[in-house]
Parts: sequence; C-alpha cells; structure tokens
Amino acid sequence: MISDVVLLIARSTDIEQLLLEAVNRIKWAFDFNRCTLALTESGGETYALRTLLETRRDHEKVKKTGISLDAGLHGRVIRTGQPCIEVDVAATAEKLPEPVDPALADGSSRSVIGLPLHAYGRIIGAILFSATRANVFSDEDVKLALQFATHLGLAIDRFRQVDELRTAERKAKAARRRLYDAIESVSEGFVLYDHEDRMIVCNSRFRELFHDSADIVEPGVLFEDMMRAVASTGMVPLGGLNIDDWVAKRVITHKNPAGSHVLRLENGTWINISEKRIDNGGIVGVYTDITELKEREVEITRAKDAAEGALTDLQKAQERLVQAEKMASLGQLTAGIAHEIKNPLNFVNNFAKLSDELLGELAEILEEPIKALDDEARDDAEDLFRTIRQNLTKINEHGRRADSIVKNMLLHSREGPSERQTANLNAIAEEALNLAYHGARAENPNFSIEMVKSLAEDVGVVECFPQDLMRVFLNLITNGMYAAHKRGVEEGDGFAPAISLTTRTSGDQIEIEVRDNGTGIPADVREKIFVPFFTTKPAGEGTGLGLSLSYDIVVKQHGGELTVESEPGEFTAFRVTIPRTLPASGGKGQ
Amino acid sequence: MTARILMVDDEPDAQDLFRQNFRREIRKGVYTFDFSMSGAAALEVLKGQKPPEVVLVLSDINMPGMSGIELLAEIRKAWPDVVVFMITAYGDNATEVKARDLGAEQFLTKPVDFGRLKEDLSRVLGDNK
Repeated sequence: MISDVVLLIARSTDIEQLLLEAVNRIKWAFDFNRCTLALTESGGETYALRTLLETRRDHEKVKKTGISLDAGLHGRVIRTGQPCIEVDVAATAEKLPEPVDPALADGSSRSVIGLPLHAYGRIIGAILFSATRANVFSDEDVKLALQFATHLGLAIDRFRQVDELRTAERKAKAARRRLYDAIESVSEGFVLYDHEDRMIVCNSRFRELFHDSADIVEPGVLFEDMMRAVASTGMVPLGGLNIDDWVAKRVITHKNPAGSHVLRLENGTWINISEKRIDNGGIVGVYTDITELKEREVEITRAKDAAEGALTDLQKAQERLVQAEKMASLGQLTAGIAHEIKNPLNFVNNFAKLSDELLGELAEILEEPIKALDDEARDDAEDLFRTIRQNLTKINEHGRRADSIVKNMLLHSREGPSERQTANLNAIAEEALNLAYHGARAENPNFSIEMVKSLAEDVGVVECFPQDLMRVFLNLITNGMYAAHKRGVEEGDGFAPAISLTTRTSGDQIEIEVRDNGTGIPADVREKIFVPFFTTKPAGEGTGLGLSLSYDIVVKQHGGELTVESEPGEFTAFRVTIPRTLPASGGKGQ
Repeated sequence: MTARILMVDDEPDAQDLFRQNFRREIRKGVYTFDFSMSGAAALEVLKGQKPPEVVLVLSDINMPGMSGIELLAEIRKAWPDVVVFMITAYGDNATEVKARDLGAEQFLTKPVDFGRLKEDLSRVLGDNK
C-alpha cells in the first residue's frame, strides 16, 4: 500500500492532485472519516488548515489560514513534533487543546491520529485522521499512517520548494524584463560590466554606437575585446598609437573611471563616455552623443574668435582714425602757424634787401663828399656804411633761415585730410629722393651726394596714404643726406657722401630702406630719436618733429614698423616695413 | 606815358615795399601807384574814376572782407579792359587755376620776385596808351 503511495508521489506533477489521490488511496488501507492537513506558512508563526477528505456529507470541509501555532491540535503537533494519537477524544478532551477544526470540536470525531510532517529536519505541517467512533485505529493503522505522513511530508516539501523556485524564477524573469525595458528606454547608450569586465547587459543605443562592430556586443564579451574590435575597424581615431597601445590605454581609463571623457569617432560623431565603478566591482557606462553640443561649441568658439578679431580690428581702426585726426589737426596747426609767419618774414627779408640797396645808392651819392672829409670822419663814415650793410646782410641771412624753417614746417604739414589710396610705392620713394636732393641743393648749391636706387619691380602698388608716406621718405632721406654731408664736411675731400634707397617685398610686407654713410647714431641717442622735438641738429636747423611724425605715420597710420640700425662714424639705415594692404576698417565692411 | 597801377593789400607795409622797389620807375614816371587797403576801397577808387585811369590792378588774395578773387571777378565784370595781377602767399594750384579762369592775367606768389614782376608789367603795359 505504501509503495503505491510512493509511486504516486514520484509521478505527480501537481501537489493538489497528489494530495487528493494519496489520501483517497490510503483510505483503502485504514478507515477514517476525515483527514485534515495543516501546513506552516512562510514566517513560521502560523499555519493553514484544510480538509483533504470528509466522508460525512453533513460535515463541512474546513479551509483556514493564518492560524497561530498555539491554537488547535494541529498547532500542538507542529510545535511539539509529537504525534497526537487519541483513542477517544471525548475522554481526554480537557488534556487536548481546543481544536480549530469544528469537526473535531463538535464531538463527532472520537478516534484521532495526528502526525507531524517532517522534511529534512524541519516540521512543515501536520496531518490528522479522525473517525467518528472511538478505538477505531489499530496499531497497524497508526504505523501505516506514520509511513504515509513521512512520505507525504517529504513530497509536500519538495513540491513547495519546486513551487517556490518556479515563482522565484518567474519573479526574476519579470524583474529582468522590467530592468531591460528600463535600460532600453534610456536615451543614452547604457552598458553594465561585471567585476571581470565582461558585459552583462546593454541597450540598443549602446550597440548602435558600435556600427559595424555591433555583432561583437553580446553579453559576456570582454571590454577589451570590444575595444579591439572598434579600433580595428578604424571607427575611432587612434591618435598615432597602434591598435594594442590604444586598446591598453582605453582599458586603463575604463578600469579607473574618473568622471567622463570625450571621444571623437572617425565619422565626426562626438561621444561623451561616463564610466563609474559600482559596489559589486562592476562598471556602469553611459554613452551620450554630444555631436550637436560639440558643433554648437565649435560655432560659439568660432563666433567668439570672430568677434574678438573684429574687436581688435575695430580698435586698430579707431587708433588709426585718432592718429589721422591728430595728424590732420597738427598739420593744420603747423600750416596755420607757418602761413602766419610767412608774411612778416617776407617783409623782413624784403626790407632788409631794399635797405641794403638803398644804402648802396647812398654810398654812391656820398662817395665824393666822404672823400672830402677829414681822416677820422671819413673812417667813421665808411665804417658806419660797412657796418650797416653787414647788419642788413645778417638780417637777410637770418630771415632766409627763418624762411627755410617755415618751409620745412610746411613740408611736415598740409591742409585737409590725407587720402587713402593705392599708389605705386617706388614712384613715391623716387619722388621723395628727388625732392630731398633738390631741396638740399637749394639750401646749399655746393651740396653733392652719390645716390643709389634699388627699387624692386615686384613692389608694385600698395594701399597707403601716399602724401604721408612721401613725408616719411622725405624726412628719412633728408636726414640721411644731412648726415652724409656732415661727415663729408668733417672728413674732407677723401670722403664721398652716399645715400641708398632700396625697396623690396617680403611676403605681404613691403620694405623700404634708407641707408647713408654718414656720421651714424650712437646707441643712447638711438633710443630717443623717435621722441617728438628731440633733435641733434643745431638750433634753427631742424624742428625735431620729423622722425616722431614719421614714426606715427608708419606705425599708427599704416600698421607697420620703423626701425633704425647704425654704427657711429660708419652708417645709418632706417627701415620702413608696411603691409601691402591696410587692415580692413569700418568703411569696408567685413 | 605814365601807367597808373592800383595796388590792393591789407598790409600797410606792402605799400612801402612796392614804392621802394619801384623807386626808379616812379622817379622816371613810368608808373604811378595808388594803394587801397581792401577790395571795397579798391572798387571805390575805380568807380570814382570816369573813365578809369587805372590800367592795372595788383591784388593780394587773402584779405578781410572781400577777397582778392571776389575783387577780380568784380573788376573783370565792370572794367574788362583793366588788367589784373594776383599776388598771394598761398601758391596752390587750385587757386591759380581759379584766378586765371576768372581772368587774372598773371599769378605771383610772395615773396614777390620784383625783377620778374617788372618784366611782366612792361610786357603787358609797355606799348599801351
């Protein structure tokens, strides 16, 4: 009989079916009216009770849960682990606990076999057989019931475990499903690695990032292998490293994540990679496509650079305007002064000359009467005439000097704003040379100098302020001629004063050099030569304005450079460097 | 025949300068000089002479009130036979062109080259009247 039950247990897939069939089968072995089953509930403090079999139609089947282990016969059996076998419950009622099952309480059950259900050292419940009359169960019946209970206990436990496992599996599956759905719904690429750096899970967004290497992205793949695949397809720029070095470097960054880093793929996409170690030793990675952000960043940087460039241009243009204004007003000032002085100067010179002539006429008229005077008086008279004529000559001389200073000043000034044009630079330089030469000769008819011109043909046209450049060249050449001439005067006939004018192009810059073999400029003077009103010429010969104005014209007005090189007693060379085109300013637009 | 020349200049010393430079010619009776200190005064002198005795006007350009250019225009309009020479400290091309367009016979810059002036005068007036 018991072996039948065992077979039944082995073949059952369903515990309910098993319980029903087993209890029915065992009823063949010994007779009972009612069989109830108590099973402990999770928590271990309570049990559930139900009727497995009831022969009497007027007795209700019981089904209850959450019964305290302190209550009922079943409760005692479970708690104590001791069988409760009663021949006649009616007789021993006071010793027994209050039954929970009403069928036991109403006195209709007299014979009772209550057995604990054991499973692997635990008590998982109790089974109770009862009959309506007393002394129904024999010792054989009890033995049978015991064997039955033993097998049933194990079977129930096994089924329960399987059930729990299945439930746990189901729950786990559902939880995993929820997790995957959540990961999938994340808009960034998401990936999780375990403590051995194998990928546990990732979403499609992450897989997509791998493009052609996507099939390597499967759970279990090593991070390093994924990186190797990516590097091999040329998806990422390797920055000059070979594949192995790049992979090694990437793995190091990956294993020691410190915030996020940015990767630029070959196809122009920018990815922000944020990796973090999590508690169990694994690594979580979030990959965000920041291409748009990057593009905007680049645009902003470009705009900022353009704005800064524009600002600098504007500032330079402003400086040039201010400079031009200054030049204009200074020019007008000196022009005004010069013109004002010219008139009285003319009178000085003219009257001096006239007076000299008139005196000459007077001397002629008085020639005879003077001869008729006594010696002393005659000497006096002649002396007076001579002195007065000398004085007048001196007045004339100084008047002419003042006149040449005024002319000099007028050269350094003009009326009206100078115009920005394109002009042939060599032509301007040549004209300046000629003007300077003729000017020097006008002042001193004995002036002579050797002039060497090397004007490069590719200099061509230059965007500039031609009148002002003319002034600069005139100034430099005049100075050079003066210096060479001075050395000639000092050293005498053995020395041949020479001046050279050279123009050449150097990239987008034009260089003009004025070199003389004159007295040279000592180092301490060289520092000061561009300072306004500084001059080494004797009083009355120079205004000291020339070089400082030239400097301002070259540097501020044309954005160029003016440098000097000199060896005292040997040579001086001034070099003007200006750009071929002036930087754009307001009127031209961007 | 003495040619009568009218000199117009706001600088009083200009008179002396011219008188001294032309002392010989004046003594010989080649020229006589009248002086006006402004364009307006010059016009008065000319208007006062009916018919005009002045044959040539030497005028400065930069004067307060009526400028030499304006005077030139007036003279050429009213007395087309009177020759006008402009004398000026400002020797720029634009002014010269303007003066000649308006009918100035000659254009001189200060300081005046009297030798040249005398040549020009004798060329223009020499065989007149």
